[in-house]
Amino acid sequence: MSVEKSLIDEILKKYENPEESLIAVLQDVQAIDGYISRESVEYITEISGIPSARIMGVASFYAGFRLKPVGKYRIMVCMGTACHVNGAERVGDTVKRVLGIEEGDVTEDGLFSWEEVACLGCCSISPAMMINDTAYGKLTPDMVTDIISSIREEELK
Amino acid sequence: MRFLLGYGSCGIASGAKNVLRGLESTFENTDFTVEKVGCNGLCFAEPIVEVICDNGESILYGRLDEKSAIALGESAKNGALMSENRLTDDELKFLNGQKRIVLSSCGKIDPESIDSYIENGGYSALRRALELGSEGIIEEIKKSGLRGRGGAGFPTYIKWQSAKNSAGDEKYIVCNADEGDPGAFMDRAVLEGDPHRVLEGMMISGIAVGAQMGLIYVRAEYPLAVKRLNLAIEEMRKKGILGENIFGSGFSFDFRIMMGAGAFVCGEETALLASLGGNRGMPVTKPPFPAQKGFRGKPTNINNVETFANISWIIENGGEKFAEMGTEGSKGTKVFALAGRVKRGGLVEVPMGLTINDIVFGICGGIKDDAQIKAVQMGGPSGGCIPKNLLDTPIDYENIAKTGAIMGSGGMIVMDEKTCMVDMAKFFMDFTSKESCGKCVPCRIGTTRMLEILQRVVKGEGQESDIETLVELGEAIKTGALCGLGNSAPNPVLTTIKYFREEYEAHINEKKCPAKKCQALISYNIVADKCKGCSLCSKKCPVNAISGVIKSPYKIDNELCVRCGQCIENCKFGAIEILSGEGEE
Amino acid sequence: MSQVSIIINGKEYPADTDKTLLDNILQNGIYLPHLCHNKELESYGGCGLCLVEVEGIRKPLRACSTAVTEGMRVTTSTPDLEKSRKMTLSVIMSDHAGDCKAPCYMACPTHQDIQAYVGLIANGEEKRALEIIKQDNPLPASIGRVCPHPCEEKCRRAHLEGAVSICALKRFAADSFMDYIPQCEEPNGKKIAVVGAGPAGLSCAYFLAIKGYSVEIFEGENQGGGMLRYGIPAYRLPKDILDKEIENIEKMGVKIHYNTRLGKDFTIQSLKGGFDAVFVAIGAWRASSMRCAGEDALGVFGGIDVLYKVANGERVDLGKKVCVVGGGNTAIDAVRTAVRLGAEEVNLIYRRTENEMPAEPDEIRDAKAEGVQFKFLSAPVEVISENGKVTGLKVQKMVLGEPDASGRRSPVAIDGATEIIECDSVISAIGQQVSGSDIDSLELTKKSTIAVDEATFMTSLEGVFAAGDVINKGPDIAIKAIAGGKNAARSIDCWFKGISVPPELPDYSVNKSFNPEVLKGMPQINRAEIKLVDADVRNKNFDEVAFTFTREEAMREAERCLECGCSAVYSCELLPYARDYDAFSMKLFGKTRQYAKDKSHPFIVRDNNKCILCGQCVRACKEIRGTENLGLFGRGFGTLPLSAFDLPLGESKCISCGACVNVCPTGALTTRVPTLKNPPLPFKDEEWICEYCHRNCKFTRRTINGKTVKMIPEKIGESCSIGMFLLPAKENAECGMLSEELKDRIFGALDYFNGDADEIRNSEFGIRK
Repeated sequence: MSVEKSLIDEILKKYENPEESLIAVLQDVQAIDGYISRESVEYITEISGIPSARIMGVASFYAGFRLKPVGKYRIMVCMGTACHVNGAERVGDTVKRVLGIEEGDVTEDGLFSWEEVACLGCCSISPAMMINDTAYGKLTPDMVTDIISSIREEELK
Repeated sequence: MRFLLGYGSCGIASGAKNVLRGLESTFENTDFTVEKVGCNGLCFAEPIVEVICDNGESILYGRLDEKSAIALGESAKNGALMSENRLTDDELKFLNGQKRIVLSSCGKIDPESIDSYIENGGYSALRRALELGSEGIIEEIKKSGLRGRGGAGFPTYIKWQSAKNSAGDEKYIVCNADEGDPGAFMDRAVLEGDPHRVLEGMMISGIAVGAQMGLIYVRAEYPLAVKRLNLAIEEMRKKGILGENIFGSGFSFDFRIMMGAGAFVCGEETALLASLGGNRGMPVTKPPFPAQKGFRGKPTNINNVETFANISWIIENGGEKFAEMGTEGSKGTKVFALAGRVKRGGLVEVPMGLTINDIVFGICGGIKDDAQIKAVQMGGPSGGCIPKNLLDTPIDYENIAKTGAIMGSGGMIVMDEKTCMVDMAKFFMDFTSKESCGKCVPCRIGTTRMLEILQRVVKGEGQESDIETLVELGEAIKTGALCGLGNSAPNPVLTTIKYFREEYEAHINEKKCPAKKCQALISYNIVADKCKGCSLCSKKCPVNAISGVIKSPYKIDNELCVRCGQCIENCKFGAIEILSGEGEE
Repeated sequence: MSQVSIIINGKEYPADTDKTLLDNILQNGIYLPHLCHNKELESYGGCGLCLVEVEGIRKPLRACSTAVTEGMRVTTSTPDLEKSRKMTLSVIMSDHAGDCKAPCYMACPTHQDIQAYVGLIANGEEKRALEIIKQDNPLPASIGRVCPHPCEEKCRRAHLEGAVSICALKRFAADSFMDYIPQCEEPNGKKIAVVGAGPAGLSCAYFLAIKGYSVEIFEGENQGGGMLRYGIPAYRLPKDILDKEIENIEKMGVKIHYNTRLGKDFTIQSLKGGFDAVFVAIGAWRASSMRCAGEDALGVFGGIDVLYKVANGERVDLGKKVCVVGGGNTAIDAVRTAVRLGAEEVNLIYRRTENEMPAEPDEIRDAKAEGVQFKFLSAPVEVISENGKVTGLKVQKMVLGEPDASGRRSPVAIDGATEIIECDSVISAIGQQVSGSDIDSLELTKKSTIAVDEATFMTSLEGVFAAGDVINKGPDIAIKAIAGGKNAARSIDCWFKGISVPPELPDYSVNKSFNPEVLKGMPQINRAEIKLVDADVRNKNFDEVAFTFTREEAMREAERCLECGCSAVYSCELLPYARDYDAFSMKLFGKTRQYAKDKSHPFIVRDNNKCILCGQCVRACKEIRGTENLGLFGRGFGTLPLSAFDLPLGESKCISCGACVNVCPTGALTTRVPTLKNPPLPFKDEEWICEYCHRNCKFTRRTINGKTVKMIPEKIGESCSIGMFLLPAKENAECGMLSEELKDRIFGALDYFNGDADEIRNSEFGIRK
């Protein structure tokens, strides 16, 4: 996958001090493809002079950055305390079983990826998960299965 | 008549969009409008609509969906508000028992309208603060006795004074809105429901310290909060409340928002500063403190969202008034986020000094399904589990610390007898070990080793010496870790060992999980006498572990069973039991 | 800078305010462990070892990140601090996947430094290799021929094409310099009597002689070597080799009295009178009985008895058909000896299968080639005889049953299935026992062996020591007896000095969960086969069957060594702390990180298994040179110092400034030596001044065998790659390996030295061409 260099140029221009704003730069770059590719990092280095080792160090430190592509539907299973007490493990297990992939991987059709995430702040509707920007709460394994299959059906149409 | 719809992210997740659609469709061509407000903390009843009648009377409707929203709208149009879906008097105790300062406007005002904030008295404290001046502000804060609401409870005025005293013209105010404590969501509620209150608090701090820039480090997981903060800042600028020479006072201030990228350790001041500077969020040793050398190496005052949200009230009402609430050492109110096995979860703001029991039973209505309470976890991954017999502990910084837990940001996870304390300890250890920045040895490897031991224990592979090893490792990490995350990481394990040692021993010696939670130590069993042979469980089982012949008792193959609990949930006859160490097989 | 006074552990010391508390403490010569601090780097506070208590402050502070103030009262050691340090070091060790010493070293009973001598052979330094071998093994030419080499079983090269042929390499080195004798210390006047000139006795005498003791050996036979002479046939170990090695020991001043037998010519008590200490190593010479009927018939022999007679030149009449019972090396020696004595049909009878045979696979292969028949799953039940003379052996057929305590499947008799094998003689080679009456004055075990203390080798009689086949568990392999002799000698020395015996093996970090995956991608080099005389030639005489490696063969074979042990074992900062704080005793375990070594860089070898994440390399890369080629990646337990995108160091943007290598406290980053292998050996340090430019940077030059292995600059920040790498490389004539790109990068990096860069760059330096 080639990087849209002009998009990165624009991002870098947006920030007065890209070095100090590195996290924001990376958040913007990630927003392009859903992850941060090696090519993008090398290009940021080329333009801004920020060493790639530092960029990769930052990108690999924060859970919010992804260095691998994600699925079209990114399922985030909340692993917060309230969700844990109310059965988050079952939600994760179900997602894993239904998708047939390990955490962090993408399904072969590129539709889904899933990951465990820190508290989504939806404790009152625990256990919860988010698919892209939509939160789902008070989940049971049945509901998880239904949610995923309805997305799949929608995609097949 | 006004219709206030709770439109925070939890409300939206619970279906507030459908409610909005329902109400708006019924209100078409009428004078009625729906006001989207922040979360009022009654999470247990989401989605919620508060109807404020023309006579000022407030009626709360909860657990709405599109259909009931339409019904509500229709009933309003007909001039006779429906009686269905109203919160009961019992449920309203949840609100009535509270004393709200930080949350006072959450759910009351439109967070996307600065006018709404100003109409409710907003930014008058800022004017007052400009009159008071730096010394005056710090004096009021000192009198208020306000302590940092982010965790450690450090007196706020000392921080401010110290940043003020540091030499230099370039200073910063940082708001720590990286609410990472799993189980706490009060900061999100405030940022989403009343963003101006936080911004005003930061500006007052700016006057006190002599700073010109406020940085808000907010979790990227809170997109709505970010959106509303941005909007609020934009509106402030339009109103001349932000920028150069505010209110002609000569004071200039501006804000910048930075989204965190997902690291719990950034709740630690020095890690947060590193992150603000575009680096890995790794803490450094103190001194120098941020008040001396912070953002860009300049004096910086860092407080969390709730602390800043208290400021305008204190300036407006006076520090003494604030100090009238609470206990000797802990003044004012504190917001708690109640979750877990509690009947009515949500946000509770009460004066310091109430007991945990007051909150859990008095305000939140006790335990789900009227089960027995076992413990309350306070302070998240840095805190501890407070057992049943200590729940009459008055809530203040010192008393909570005596139990081995910490006040923390105010997360309270209520646990009943179905909660396994070893599993809880493992959960928190898993969290902290994943969140360890990796810099210092005790935290990096120590938490991993503790987690591995706990993982063995819940699998029934524990050894007798494991408890002692956990305590030794825990103590060593507390002493040797570099930052607050590491220093407090062993707390959940150490407190559960202190109060629930017998549960550890049961896992290790009897290979038994008393709470019947740990998957490796339990098995499912269909009680033949109760099973009617309806086959529902077998159909629901995702792994085909249940088999049988219609109308005769079914059986579970525990080799195949993944202990997902689907069968139990679906069995209408309560015929499926969980066994642990009771001589099964 | 200003001077203040601080109180450390109750005593007043001067201190510089511009230095950290740690630097002040160290400067005053006070011990305070630390692993992440370097005075040229910003304080970090990662390792957590330098915690101290400061009066007035509740929590312990990291001395590396604490400033000094006038009158500050500091305590560096309290029970709590020491406990914390022990735990911290314990958790570090629990995640230290590095091996201080290679698995072969750990497996060798006498802990020969195999990686060192194999490395030296690969580097073409076999003389030095033999010196290393002889530090732990007095009979390398003999052992190099007969040892069942437990070291090779643990060799990690076995995960690839096969273990390194360690034993044959030892033989090569020993054969190359048969006259080499190690230096002995000045005589100390103490006299020691050694009973028995077998491997244990010779070994003990040898090591005592080195220590300056005057040693006399009393041997019952008319020649030395014990079982090496009488138990191992000459076709495996020619007697002249053994003679030469014994002669070397005699040249070290050891006197051997032959034909002088314990119990007949002298007693232990009588020796005690004339000597300051006595060492007993008389071995185990009695063949065990088969415990089957008819064993007293004419033509039934003990395996060891047959071998003894043959070795002694006595005639043994085995007849044309021979049955040998047993599955060990003695059984193989017996069948192959029988073949050489002219037997036409030789059967080896073993009750399990070939898989379970304790004998070496090579030996079994060679015996088969020489025409020996193997009858597996057969147990002797009766020796058939006519007129008192053997005519056959009745065997019971067996099947393998459940595994026994040793993990081997036990043979179970098949009811009624027996067979009679016709033969003229039966040799029982199922083990040996101590023949006891001569040692009755000492406390014995149930096996009638001498009971000795495992650590000191002392018997029940003060001043009387014993080792070898005669003690505790009884007979074992020769190298074990040599180890026993060596350790007993050490113990005897300690006994005289009145000090307790240090453990045989000090604590080392051992990688318990080695993942062979990390070896993937290694170039394949097959194990060198040891050349043998053709089977139909060798089976007719007792001439030696195996050839010594040629130098080419040996160097190529030695090159296969993976160098598992740490090249920094003698300079490591972690290991001494771990020992000081007994960090090995806490049994913490869990996942560890496993990595392949990175040898892609011309000057630097990176082995992240040894990384303790002190962060010094990353900080040096950034703070000293501003390069930021290395960074920390990931977080928490899995954090690693890597170059961007995990590129091999040689392919990264590294400018070869050497800062990282000079701050690494362990063997994670080491200098690549100009030789093929980097044998971990004690080194010599000397002062050295780089005269390449006018800056005249001061270095410590570290050498092993006169070869520069590392240049340690006095000030890392002020010295460049020229002194650090290029001059030593030139000195070692290895500069050809530098790519043009790297040369450009190195010279480009000289700009860090402001005005001096041009001087360095423009001066004549061969490398530039």
